[in-house]
Amino acid sequence: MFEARLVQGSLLKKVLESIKDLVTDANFDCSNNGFALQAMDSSHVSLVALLLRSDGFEHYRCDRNMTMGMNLSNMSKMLKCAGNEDIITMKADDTGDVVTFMFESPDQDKISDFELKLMDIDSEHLGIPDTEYAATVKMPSSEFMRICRDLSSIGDTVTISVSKDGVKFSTTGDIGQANITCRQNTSVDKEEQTIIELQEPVTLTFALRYLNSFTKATPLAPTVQLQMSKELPVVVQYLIADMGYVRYYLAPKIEDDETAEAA
Amino acid sequence: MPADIRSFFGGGPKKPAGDAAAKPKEEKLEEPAATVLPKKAKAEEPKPDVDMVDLTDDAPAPKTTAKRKTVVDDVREPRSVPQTSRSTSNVFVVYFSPIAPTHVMFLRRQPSRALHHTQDDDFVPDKSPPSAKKAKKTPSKKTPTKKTPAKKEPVKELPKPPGYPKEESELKFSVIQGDQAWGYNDTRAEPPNKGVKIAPRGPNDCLEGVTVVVSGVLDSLEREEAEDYVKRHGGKVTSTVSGKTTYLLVGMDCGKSKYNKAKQHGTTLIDEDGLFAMVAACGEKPAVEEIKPEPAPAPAAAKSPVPTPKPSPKPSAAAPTAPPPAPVKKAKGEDETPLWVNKYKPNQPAQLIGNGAKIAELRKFLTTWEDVHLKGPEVKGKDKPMKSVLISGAPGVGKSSAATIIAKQLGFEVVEVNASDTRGASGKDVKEGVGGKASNAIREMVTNRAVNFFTGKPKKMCLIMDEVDGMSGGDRGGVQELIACIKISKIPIICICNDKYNQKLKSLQNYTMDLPFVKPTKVQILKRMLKIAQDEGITMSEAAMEALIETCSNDIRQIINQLQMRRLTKQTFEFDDVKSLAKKDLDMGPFTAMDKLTNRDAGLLTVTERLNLVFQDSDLIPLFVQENYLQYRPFAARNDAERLQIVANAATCISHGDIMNRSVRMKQNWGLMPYANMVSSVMPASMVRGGRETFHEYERNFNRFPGWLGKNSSAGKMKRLLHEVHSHAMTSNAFKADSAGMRCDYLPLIKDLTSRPMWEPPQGKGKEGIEDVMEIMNSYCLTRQDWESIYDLCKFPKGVGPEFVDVLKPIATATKTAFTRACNAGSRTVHSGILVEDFKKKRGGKKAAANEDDGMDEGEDEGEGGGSEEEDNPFDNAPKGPKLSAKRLAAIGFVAKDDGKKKKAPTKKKAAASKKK
Repeated sequence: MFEARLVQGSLLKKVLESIKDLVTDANFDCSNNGFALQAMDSSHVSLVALLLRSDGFEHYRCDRNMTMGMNLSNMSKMLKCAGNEDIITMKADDTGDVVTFMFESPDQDKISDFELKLMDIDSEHLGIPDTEYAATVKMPSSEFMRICRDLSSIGDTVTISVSKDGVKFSTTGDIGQANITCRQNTSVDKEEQTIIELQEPVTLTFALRYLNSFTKATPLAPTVQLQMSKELPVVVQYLIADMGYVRYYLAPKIEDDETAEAA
Repeated sequence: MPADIRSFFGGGPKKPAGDAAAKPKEEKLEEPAATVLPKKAKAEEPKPDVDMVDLTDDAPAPKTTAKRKTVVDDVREPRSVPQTSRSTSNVFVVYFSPIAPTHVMFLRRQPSRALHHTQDDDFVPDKSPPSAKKAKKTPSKKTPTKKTPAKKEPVKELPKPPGYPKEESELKFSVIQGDQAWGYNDTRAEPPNKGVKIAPRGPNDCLEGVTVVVSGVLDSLEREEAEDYVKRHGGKVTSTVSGKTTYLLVGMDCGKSKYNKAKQHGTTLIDEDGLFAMVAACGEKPAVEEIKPEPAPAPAAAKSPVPTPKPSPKPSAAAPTAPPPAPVKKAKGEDETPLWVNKYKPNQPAQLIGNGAKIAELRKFLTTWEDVHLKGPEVKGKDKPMKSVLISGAPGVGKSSAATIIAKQLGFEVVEVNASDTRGASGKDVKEGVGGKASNAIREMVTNRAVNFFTGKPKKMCLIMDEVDGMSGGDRGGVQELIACIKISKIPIICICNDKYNQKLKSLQNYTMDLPFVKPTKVQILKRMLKIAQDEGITMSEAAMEALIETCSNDIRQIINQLQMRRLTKQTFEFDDVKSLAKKDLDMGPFTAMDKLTNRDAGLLTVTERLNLVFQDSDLIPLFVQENYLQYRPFAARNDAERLQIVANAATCISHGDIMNRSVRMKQNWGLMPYANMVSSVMPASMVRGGRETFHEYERNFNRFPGWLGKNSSAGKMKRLLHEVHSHAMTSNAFKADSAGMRCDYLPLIKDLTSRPMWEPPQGKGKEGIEDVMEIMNSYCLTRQDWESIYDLCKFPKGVGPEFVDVLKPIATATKTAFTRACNAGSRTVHSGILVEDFKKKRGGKKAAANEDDGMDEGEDEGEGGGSEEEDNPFDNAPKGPKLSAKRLAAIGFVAKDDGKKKKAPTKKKAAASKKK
């Protein structure tokens, strides 16, 4: 029996908006820890990992570890029917093949009940080791989104290079090229800060299309954290206050001169 | 009275019968004979030279109530040498006919018993020593041991064959005469008693272990039917006689080599009746037990192995989007029977059936891909290695399986996209992100690494684009997208399709390496399928499995599906059941359809089936029939006169069919289409059905592609040329006829008049003749091009006579060149013709042309007089557009006004020349 009640229903809505573009069907794993999801997109280029901890829910009950396979676009369709202020409750039986969403309006006068059919999805679970990343950048999420959008009008890949001074985003396209550099700054407002922790300079190239999809999670958090290391996928993390995180992993582009690596 | 057949074959009291005098030889007399032939009422086929003798027999078999009388006996003594007395006496042979078991038929031996080929149909071959034959009989004795317990009839202790076999002499067969070889000049006649006899149906294994070769035209069965008959009863059919052959089933006009080989190996000869007798002797076919149709979850036995293999064969993470799009989650505990195609899906390269060489090539492509494309030097030009490979082949042969398995085995991270995904053009706007579109993801993927390389080396990715020819309306720009991806790709791409000649894939083929997969052979599939059948509890004979493979066109997936369908209700799969399965609808080209319509097996097709063949390509098949119908020697014709009559009837049908087709196309009477097809193709083909022959040496004996299409377009071209010449000639006003009149009456003369003068002397005048020719041409306003067209128009294929003379050959090249120059420099009158044409074409109005025409006439008349000023007038009114620029006019020989003098000169010359004449 699984039951979870979330007062801030909009959070779940935003979470789903952020991942439904990338992944079509995914397995939600429910355990005592919380409500988690890990799925690769259809091209195996990016990975989404989501965790909503049980202590972030108003009421959370999970008797056994369950895996619920859902079509994310269908789930998002249902969640769209919930108002932003609603309280969302998710319920699922151990033996059932449906998951129930209940939306209660804050003043208790409207209650909606939705049942979503579950699916059987085979997915491999990737073990993501906790590694030390060579470079970690924290910046305002809106700025990151802006940067990605701006560069998209010029080219379709972005080279992110992190150095002591700051982080540089550059792209090249038909019409020309563009560079955006964000220097480290510690402003008063914690959320406006750009902080760089560097162990060694890193330069990697990524597909802007995917980064644009990642930035759909911007409403979830004011800051975004990028962690990069050579030869590892970049981790784009949005921390959900008091609840958990949404992490996107994106593999870098194949470099032309990386012939040695291609083997 | 002995009840046992042995009495007929020597060893019993002999009784005279009829006027039998001599004793025909009988091999295998010592064979312990069958005691009884079950009484079966069958249609009788009266043989003109057979006397029926009713005989009753007090057979011990309870089944038969009739009694058999032992009749002729001295007839039964074994003989090894042809008796000379046979030449004069009538010899009777007795044998049992399953057709009328209470009758014994006497077959009168034909008087001619020459060893060598005679003119008669019944060729009686030399008899080999019976001992040899008998010795050879024993190998077939092994078959009795294979009797299955199914035959429970108490009487059946029949060894196979049931003591039936008769001497060769008694068999109604003949070996083909002379040098007539069958080859592929298949003029096989129809069985004379087709459909008359009812073949007995015995248990499925009564011919088990028996190998039969069929030769010649049998009495009532078509070749295919006979083969089916043997296979149905568990026997094997081969095409050549070898040591393993048990019987040679003979009919009329057997093949010489088969017969000789049979002699060589000592194979027993039987005829159709003998075969029936053998089967009949084995008893009735026992009823097949039916399994009650079990509900799906019920087969518990099948269930237990099911859950365990289920997870593994499932396509593992090959495509999170593609394979399980939305399987509804089952309630826990309830397990649906999985599809066998998934259960037995190959996951090792060793399990792939067929196409070994192609798979090795694919493997090589994948292993060397990086070296060639990423690390290697850039190669340009036509030797450029392809970044992607296109696997094509019939459905169900293992293309997708092979691609996935090999790629996975080589360590690639495989992403598969197939027809279930929308693969249209990718979104141009990168800002939108992936947007849930597979095409976006693919576009990015081809230059990206896979994400799952947190530890160890980065994983290589491989894209499999399955069912590329399935990109339908929803995938607009799909192939373009794919080509663009291939161009920028840094990973190998495997494309899979069914039909590589599809229009959609034409451009794709420039970017892919071609890797066609062929259908696996029967032998390759057979073992695996039998094993599957065995594992799942279906009993099937090899013959039935082979027939199933054939019916499914070597499509492994379909075969397995058929087996599973069958298993739901029954546990056996009989040969007959296989035959009754509907054959897969295949797209066959017109050649195949035409072959099927006219080959000797077409006699087995129903009218509806034949009509369906025509509908395969209803534009081309009627043309095919018209092209080839003369080449056939109709079965129905007994002599040339009848053949001509049949051909005439067929031709009538074809022309009626043409009328109907015309009505269909022109007046859109589509309701007439089936009738049109029937009359134009099915009827003529059925009438002339027979063996195909050729009329010329070196002609191939295959159905020809219709020549009408080519001839039609040539006819169009000729009409056009004629029209051009005609319209030029009309402008001269010296000529008033329509184009038909021109062609029939004028052109033959013009042809001669414009060529003979230019022949080399003494026949012609050589260069001097150019003037004469020019005179004719000018008077009809013909251009140089027209001159050529006239010859094309008047050309006849090879023949003898004045019309066939090649009038251009004797003209010397120098003369021709001078002539061409003269034409180009020539007079105005010629060019007026062109200008008129040009006016018509460019001004687009007949009125303008008519005006100019009048102007021409005037100008022409006055031109004779030399009034050049008036000549200019029509051309003054001409539009001064680029079309009539001075340069162009000069090009065609017309110079501008100022050089009026020059213009006059040729005219004068012409006048002078004409005056001279």
